[in-house]
Amino acid sequence: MDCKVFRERLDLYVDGELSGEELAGASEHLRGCASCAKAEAGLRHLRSSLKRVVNRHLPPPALEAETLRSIRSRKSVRAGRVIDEGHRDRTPVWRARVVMPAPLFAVLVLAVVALAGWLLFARDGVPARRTVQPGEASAESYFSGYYGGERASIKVVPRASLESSRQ
Amino acid sequence: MKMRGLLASTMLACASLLATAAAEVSPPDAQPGRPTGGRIRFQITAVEEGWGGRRVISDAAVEGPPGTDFNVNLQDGRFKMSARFLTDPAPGGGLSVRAKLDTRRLYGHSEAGLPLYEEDAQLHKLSLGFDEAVVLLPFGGGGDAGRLSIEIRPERLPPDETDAPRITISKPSPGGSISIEATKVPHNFVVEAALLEDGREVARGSAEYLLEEPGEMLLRPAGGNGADASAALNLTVERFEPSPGDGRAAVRFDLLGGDTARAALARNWAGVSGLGSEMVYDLSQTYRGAPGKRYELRLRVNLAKADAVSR
Repeated sequence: MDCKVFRERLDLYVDGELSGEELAGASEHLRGCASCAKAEAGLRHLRSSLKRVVNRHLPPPALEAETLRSIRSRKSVRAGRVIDEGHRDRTPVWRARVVMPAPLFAVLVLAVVALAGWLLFARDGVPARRTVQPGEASAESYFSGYYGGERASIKVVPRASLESSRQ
Repeated sequence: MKMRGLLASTMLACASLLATAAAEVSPPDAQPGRPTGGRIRFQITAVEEGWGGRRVISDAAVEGPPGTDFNVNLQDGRFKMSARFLTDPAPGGGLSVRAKLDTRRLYGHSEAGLPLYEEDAQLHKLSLGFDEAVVLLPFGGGGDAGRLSIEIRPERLPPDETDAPRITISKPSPGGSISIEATKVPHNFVVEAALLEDGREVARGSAEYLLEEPGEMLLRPAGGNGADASAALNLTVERFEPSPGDGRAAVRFDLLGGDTARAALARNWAGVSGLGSEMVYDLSQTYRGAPGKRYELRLRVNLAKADAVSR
């Protein structure tokens, strides 16, 4: 094995990944080549130094658990729940996003529209306050829908015209 | 002052007297001079016309002898209308109707927090046939909610055993917002007036009055044919209060000078007395006659011939 081939396989050699024949060839070349021996020693030194530095700044033992809990908490808020077990989300309730199936949303909208219609109109189309029965509610504002009307007036009409409008 | 006190007490008694008016009216008769024989029914229907079409919200009937009067009152927290209908038989076979509409709407409040009202008073004289109907629009053409109308249809009925008015409510108004009253009292009166100087009659006059209808009467010097009037009386018979005897009439009047200037001698004076009884007013401080003389005005109210016969 010459220097060029050894340098190509240097990382594998240091990692102990070379097979028997290549490992024997590399060891024999290393014994006879001071330059490659120096390169091999330098690489091993670099690796041991990195390992030392990395091991000196290990993450806190609870980091993994905290991260996983936070992720689960965000999922819970999106599903409509604000509080996760033992962990209160900082997002205000009124800013929380609510996820709802489209059919359920449509049904809710229809229900609100129907309720508003029922409140505004009686069954025959006259405002609901018109359906108040004697004694059920006060006549405090019974004519409120007409307050914007004009001056009172009176007229005589053929009786037949009233009879026709009845039908 | 004395007459004011009398008037005040009369007004207090008025409501109860009106309520019992029906019972005090004489039984029916078949005497000549009676305008029509049977009774008249007024079907009073309140109708709302809006987006949902036409809807009857109340229905009632007032029936009574010719000359029956009725009120249709509408009221809620901000609106009040009193529509008074005085009816009389008309010569052509129909009805003469005087409709008095008094309306009050709450407009808002002043800076001092006092309520501000819009008020309206109208008088309409209508000629109504039995093939016609009166349509009262309390809010004119309508408002946001559509149009509210009170339809009144007259109808002839055969004579009944009673002359008392009767109200039949087939559909009460929601929340009692519409109410109806009915009375039957005489409508035609003769008022006689005399001006006295130291107890001696110096001028007199006489005129027929319709209930609640103002009219002018001239008091002319006694015995002076064609002489200028001594005074003019603008008088209204405001009410008639039936009683077991003959009833009492309440009047209100202005006394004016007999010349063309018509200077006011008395303003808004009033009184009430039994039929045929005198009401006496001291004019010494107001009438411009001879100095040192005492002047009096005496009024006497009687039923006119048509109403006297029917009673």
